[in-house]
Amino acid sequence: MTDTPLGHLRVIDCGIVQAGPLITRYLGDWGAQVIRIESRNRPDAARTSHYPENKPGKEYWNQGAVFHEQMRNKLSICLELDDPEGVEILKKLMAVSDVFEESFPQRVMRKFGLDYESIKHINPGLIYISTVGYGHGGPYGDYRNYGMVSEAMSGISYLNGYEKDEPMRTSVPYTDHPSTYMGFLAVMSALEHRHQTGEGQWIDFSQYEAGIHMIGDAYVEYSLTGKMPTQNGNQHDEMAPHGVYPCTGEPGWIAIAIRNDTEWEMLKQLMREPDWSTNPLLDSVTGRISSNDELDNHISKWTEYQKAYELQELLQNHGIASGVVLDHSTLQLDPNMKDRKFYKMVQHHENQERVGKRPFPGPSAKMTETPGDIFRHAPMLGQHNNEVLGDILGYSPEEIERLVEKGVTGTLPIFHDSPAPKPLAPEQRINMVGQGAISSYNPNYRKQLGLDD
Amino acid sequence: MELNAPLSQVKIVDFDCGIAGSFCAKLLAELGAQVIKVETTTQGNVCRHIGPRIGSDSEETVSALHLYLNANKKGLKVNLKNSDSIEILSQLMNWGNIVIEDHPPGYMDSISLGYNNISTSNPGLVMTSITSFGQTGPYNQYESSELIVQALSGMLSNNGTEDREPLRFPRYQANFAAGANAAGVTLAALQYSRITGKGQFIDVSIQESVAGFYYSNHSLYTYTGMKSPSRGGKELYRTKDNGWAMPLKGRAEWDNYALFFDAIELLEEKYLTPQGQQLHAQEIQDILSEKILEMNKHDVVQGGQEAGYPFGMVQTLEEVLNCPQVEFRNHFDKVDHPNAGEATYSRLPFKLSSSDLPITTNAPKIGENNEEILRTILNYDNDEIIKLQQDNVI
Repeated sequence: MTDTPLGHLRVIDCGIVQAGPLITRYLGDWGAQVIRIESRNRPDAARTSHYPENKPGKEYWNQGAVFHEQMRNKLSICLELDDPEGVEILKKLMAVSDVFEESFPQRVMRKFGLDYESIKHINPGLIYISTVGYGHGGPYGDYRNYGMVSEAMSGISYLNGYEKDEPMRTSVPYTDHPSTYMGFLAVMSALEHRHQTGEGQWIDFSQYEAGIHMIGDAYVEYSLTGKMPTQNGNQHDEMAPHGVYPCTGEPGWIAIAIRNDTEWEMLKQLMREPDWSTNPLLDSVTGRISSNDELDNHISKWTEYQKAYELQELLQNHGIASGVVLDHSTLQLDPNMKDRKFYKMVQHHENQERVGKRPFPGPSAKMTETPGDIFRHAPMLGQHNNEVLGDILGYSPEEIERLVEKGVTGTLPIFHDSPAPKPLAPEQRINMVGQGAISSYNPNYRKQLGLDD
Repeated sequence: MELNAPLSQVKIVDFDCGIAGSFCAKLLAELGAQVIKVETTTQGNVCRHIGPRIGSDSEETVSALHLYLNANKKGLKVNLKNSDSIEILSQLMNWGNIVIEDHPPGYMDSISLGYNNISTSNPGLVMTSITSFGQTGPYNQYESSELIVQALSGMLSNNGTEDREPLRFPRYQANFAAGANAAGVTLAALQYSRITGKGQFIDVSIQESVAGFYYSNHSLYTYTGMKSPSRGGKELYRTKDNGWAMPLKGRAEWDNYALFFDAIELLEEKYLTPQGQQLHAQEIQDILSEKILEMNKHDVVQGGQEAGYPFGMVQTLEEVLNCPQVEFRNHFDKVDHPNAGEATYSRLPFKLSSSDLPITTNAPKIGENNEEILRTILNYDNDEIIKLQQDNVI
């Protein structure tokens, strides 16, 4: 392994979907040893979501796409906390670790005697992070949460939406995403604190507050102007044209932002100065903003017969800020992403049936001295029981065997004898498009992504 | 600033950053780092001029964005046109553990303040550069903006409805995301520097920062070829009090979920299985819409949560400011601004057991701390400072 910034750390990951496991994923990307604690009785839901080619095979619980994405660079050990011996083992691990991550309601960790107050004496240097929807304590402290719900609660959905329209949720569990970066930041700051003082601490993270912080400027603005900002679609208070326009083929849209009058003149020239564009009202940004809808209609008619990437190049070559609208089927093929090798192809274990190799987003930044990496693929359930219990905690093979027989650890989920889920039939997939559960299906994705090369 | 704040021993230069870099340095300032915001022109930093003008100061422009991004920082103004200012900045970067900048690739080298210039005399330095598309690659000189980088990072495609154009996320989500990412990785590199004495240059791309944090749609496609739909307009239901509730079913049992809304219609055979619920999604939505229109949003949320469901609602900014959870956790600080009035600042989204982390200081005026910085950090004496002023260096 190359030199890494966090290679000296051991991390215990007890997080549940989705911010928690991603915070520890970043720790792993930068070299930390991350141990994922799993349960055979309640296997991680991410293990059973999106099977390769929609066909769950043998040991399908080792094939889930979302699990693979979140758990790369991690080791897996099964521990049942219903058994006091499982709790004891987890405490032993906490005693020899640097970071502990969990996302349970406070009462759960208290019940097991694993809350920060109960365990800090066994490892005063431990950095313990709890990530729940609304933070601990208070009237919402025990509220259940998903990322889309805390997005709505935080004010983001209120500001989100098409111009002169209603508030709208985004299409993702949004607060999960910025929470991962800010949770990682919190752990890194505690690490610096420990470097200075030798002391660990408890981080009580709130996804709701993360949403608020991501629009914190809107709160400052409202408090000072008394005017509540509202949804503004793709339009902008200081730039016009400023929007997303249709193109032909894939990608099907392009974003254009005209930041000043010079750029507007250039755009006019590139459009060959159609009659509508010579209206003197459009010479100033105020005039253009007042004609936003009309401008957008005209520009759409210019863009809709052009290919998005060609138009992006033409506009950028003339100093106009523009970009094609990429999604998860096109991001990996983008020339800039490819040139910078952001996506990494990861080869999976032969027992992770038919997964083979798949591309994943790489480390979130490029460090010149200590580049992170995807050092290993996501683990199979309990794959590292022996390594963790034996090598790290010093259990003998006989003791581990006894723990397996007692059911405290193991490698098979409780449902391993039940019939496997059925593959998704092609007609079901067509129905899913019709019902809006998915937007489309590309039968050539394996070839497009180079999965068979 | 709290003495026991986690970053109280960390010294940072925010080199006239735009939105992403300023947000990065702001997060570190909130964690107690000593952050010097450098401004290099008479009209001041670019973020001062984005959004509605605040207050009535005739000498300098202030926006809400600027106030938010630069609270808890100190201000140094230098005149870049005077070459002596480069010497001052170079000394400042030698003092720092961290330099944050977000100018186009090549700019720092062109003014002799690139990583290679500074690291010779300050080998432990971490310099973090944030750009829309990275230091290398075919887009590295591309023109950009929040909208453009939301397009090229996949963000836009995750917002809006299927029947309309992709929709921008509000405010500066892509720039803030990259700033938050940069703050974390910068501290990771600082730890490496603390242990080994070796600093480094970090290349943060906004495009990658955003593309990397949307994971489940990514693997849905790479494992199955299926694309996630745009879900705007779904799951939000109008309520009697003219708001919107989000009654997300989560893992609730169907019968209990239906009965919570008094929707006995939903107990019909055809709705009972997950397949049936998917097949009849529109009918279910219509039935729920009717029921929820008779309820107040707080009753939906409170009642739902008491029953163990992950219900929520759309809150306006005003409602968030008055939210009992926000009050309990003391999430907002008020800081009085000399000519703009009292502003409300969101604190960091986490509590540390080691230290309280309030927002205490306004964004600095242009060059507000010039003398203090030159005297106490760079050891200039009075005569030297007066000369720098006379020569229009600062």
